[in-house]
Amino acid sequence: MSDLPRLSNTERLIIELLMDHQELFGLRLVELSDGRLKRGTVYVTLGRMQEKGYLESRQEPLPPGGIGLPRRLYRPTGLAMRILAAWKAAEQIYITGGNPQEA
Amino acid sequence: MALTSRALAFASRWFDDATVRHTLEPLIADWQREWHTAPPSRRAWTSVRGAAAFACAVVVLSPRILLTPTPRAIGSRVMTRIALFCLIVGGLLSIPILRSPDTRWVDTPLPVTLLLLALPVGIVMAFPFAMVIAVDAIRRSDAAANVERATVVKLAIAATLFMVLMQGVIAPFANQRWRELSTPPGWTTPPPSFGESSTWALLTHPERHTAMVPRNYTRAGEIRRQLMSRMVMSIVPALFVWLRWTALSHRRRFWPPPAGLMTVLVAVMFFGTAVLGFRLEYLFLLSPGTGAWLPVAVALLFGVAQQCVEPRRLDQANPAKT
Repeated sequence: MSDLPRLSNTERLIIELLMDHQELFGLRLVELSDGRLKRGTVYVTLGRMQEKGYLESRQEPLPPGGIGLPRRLYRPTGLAMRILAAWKAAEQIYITGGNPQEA
Repeated sequence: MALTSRALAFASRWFDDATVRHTLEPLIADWQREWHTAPPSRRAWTSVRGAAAFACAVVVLSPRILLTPTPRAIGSRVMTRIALFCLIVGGLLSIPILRSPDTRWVDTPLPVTLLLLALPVGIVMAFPFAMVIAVDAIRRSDAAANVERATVVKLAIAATLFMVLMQGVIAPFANQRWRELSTPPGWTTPPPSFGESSTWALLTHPERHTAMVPRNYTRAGEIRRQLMSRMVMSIVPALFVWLRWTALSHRRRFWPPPAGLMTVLVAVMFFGTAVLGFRLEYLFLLSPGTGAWLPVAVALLFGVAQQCVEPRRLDQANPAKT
């Protein structure tokens, strides 16, 4: 049996926000996090999560007349959602002492 | 928006494609969009916030620069050039030491004097000047711009550490060992003088904080001078790496000169300003060792002046390299 992949608090927050909103770009994640995500580090975390296979991304088409780089929109992968669900279940078992009836 | 274009160019020069694409491009894209959608009165603030976020991301990602693997061919070329330069120039600088009356008077075998006295001193003197040809070996490779820069940063760090170790531990220990071996039987071995003391011994020396009198020899002044000199010699390899890199990035018609000529120019500049610094220290009653910093100040000014010159992009195929 393989170990359950680790999920940091920041990674967990990002996955939860993305699950709530389907697809978001980095700056919007920062705005929605109520200060828990920092603009200087969120992109590093997003990049790392992509490397781990927790997120997938696509470039947003530029609006008509838009200039500059296209923004990158992120969404969680099935793997990220499964890991988050597993951690939530593990937390529940830890809180209830292994008795799901107490939940 | 010029600022974001410069940020993107900076990112491409220092980081690998994957990091740029997955981490820094999204940051810059969001920054650009925020700037374009912001009212004119908020644009300056948006620029500051975006720049701060970019700087923060670069700092967080900076270990990746050091972890960028150096191609084996570049590594061995750099090591070979440095080793050859140090052996040849260090060997030449050893000759006056070997021929000086002090060393000829004692009865120590020549190989012992060479290994324990002359070569350590010669290598300490020669090593910083090997950086010019080492940078050329990196710059003339076919590696990607970020790989070259990572290699240069690692070279600067390794060279500084080498000088700290060589001057602070190895050379003083070897020199003192030579003095012990050169002491005739029955004579007392002289205790290490400041030149034969490790940097740690100098830093913790009980007389380090005693009074200093300008223009007069004091033991505290001599310790300070020795420490300043070692500090300067530890910094100069990194400084020369930066100078040569900057020179190669800002090519003009007759600039930069070939590595050999540049090495000579750098050596003349360094020793000339070192002597001048010593004279100024004496003339203006500055605290001992202050004059040793003049070569560093001049080299810094020179490097900044080079950067102010508009670069002529010779490598049109890969502007990131310039």
